[in-house]
Amino acid sequence: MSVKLFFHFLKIIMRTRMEYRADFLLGMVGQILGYAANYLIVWLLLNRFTLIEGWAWPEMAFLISVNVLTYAIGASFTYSPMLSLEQLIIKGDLDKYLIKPINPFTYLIASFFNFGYIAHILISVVLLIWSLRNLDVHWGVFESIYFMFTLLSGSMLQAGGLILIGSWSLYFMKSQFMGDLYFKIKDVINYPISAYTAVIQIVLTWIMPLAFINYFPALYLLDKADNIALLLVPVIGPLFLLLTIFIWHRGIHQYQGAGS
Amino acid sequence: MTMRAYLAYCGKSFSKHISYRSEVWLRIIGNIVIMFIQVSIWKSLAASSPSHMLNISEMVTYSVITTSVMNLLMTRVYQSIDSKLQSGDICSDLQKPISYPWYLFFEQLGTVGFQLLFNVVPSILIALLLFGIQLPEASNLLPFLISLFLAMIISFLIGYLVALIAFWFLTTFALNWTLGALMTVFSGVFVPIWFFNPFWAELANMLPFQYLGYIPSAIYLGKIEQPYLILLQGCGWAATLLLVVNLLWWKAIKRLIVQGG
Repeated sequence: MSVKLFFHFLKIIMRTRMEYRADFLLGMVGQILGYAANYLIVWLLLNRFTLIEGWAWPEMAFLISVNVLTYAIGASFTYSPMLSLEQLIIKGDLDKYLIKPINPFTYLIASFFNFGYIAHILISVVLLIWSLRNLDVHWGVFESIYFMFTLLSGSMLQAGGLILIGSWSLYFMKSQFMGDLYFKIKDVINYPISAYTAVIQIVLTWIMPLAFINYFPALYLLDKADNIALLLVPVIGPLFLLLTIFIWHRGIHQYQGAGS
Repeated sequence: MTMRAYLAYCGKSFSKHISYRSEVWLRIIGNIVIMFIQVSIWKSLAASSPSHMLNISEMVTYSVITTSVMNLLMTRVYQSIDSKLQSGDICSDLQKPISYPWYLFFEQLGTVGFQLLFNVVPSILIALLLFGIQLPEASNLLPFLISLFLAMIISFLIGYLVALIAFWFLTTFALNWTLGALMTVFSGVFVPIWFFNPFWAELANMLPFQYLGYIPSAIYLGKIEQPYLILLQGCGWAATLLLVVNLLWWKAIKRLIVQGG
């Protein structure tokens, strides 16, 4: 799919969205309140205990903001197409996406692009900037580039996680409960993973690499660890995304086999 | 006759969930994940704080109970109205010779019954093995059970209130997020109100959301000196909400007719 075609899709989606402007704005207010509550809970906790695993409030705000921001970017692309797959399959509408002369994956991504994450981006960027101003981070050229790449890589990890949920529905039809479970698991990285038992830390690093979204970048940028390996963090996102897209395509082949 | 009809709706919603029983284990894992996150954070905080600030076995029990109580709430009643409002199916529901609010209540009751048997009980058993739970003092048991019942009633009324507000908004998206925000903070599902700073604690005590998680757990742990007084206040909340809901229902029905005409 060409970039021009992709943007054409986005324009159409934007137009439909703007037909319901009041709904859209009300929804944004609701979402901002929802995330503000998540921040507030951690703030209340730190108001009482000062540190979690040695992390102070601005550091925690940084950790959570990177999670929310990368999720917003990744989910804009993959949330709606992947979570709609179950219904598309049940109603038989998925076939429509398979018979067009474009790659079904990019076609789905483009036609389900979701502009609904503006609220997520707003609140997380505001908190991110606030936290950085209250943290003593040395921002050189290298740190800035590293940070940009970790955000990009984190967004790819978040997008990839959702692609796996979509793949689940290709293999097993029903994915709604799996999705619900994933959203509960995802919250583990709102806290430093050193709070969890060793086994869980290993899982979050090597099996479900959620720790690469915000924890490892934060370790490096906030000077919490001095490990050269942390420089490799931005590589994980693209690799994970490629892997999930590969799994998804295998699922599509399986689906075609079962459908005929 | 009508009671039998309501019980039939209750049973129907129970058996609807039974057909999804293969996914039950995913819900149980979900509960354990939530408890695990909370327990880990409390353990970490306990390790770095003086012992008088935080009693870890108390906090573990607190997390297990609030997470379980969340599964027994009926706030989601508005979701069943939401789709019917948009498709217009609500009209056929309103024509049935039964009271619509009671129908919704029994439908939710069936869901709660299912959740209790297939989700809450197994989750608590697993939590007992994984984390360990304190047992309540005998004198707190009765007020705890009453508080659970009250949590269901108040959550139903709040969910129903949201549903009625949706008659004006015609969508529950924004309301859903707002309710989620209020529940996250003020029901004390993760952080109990006794850890809040004075301003937020006072705010939380002025709202009914504390009855949806904090109050049952706090009573269970014997943290509330006069549980029956608190429960009485909860009944006051239920009565107030009932009044508001009835008023709004009246207006909403009129509005619905106007819209249809």
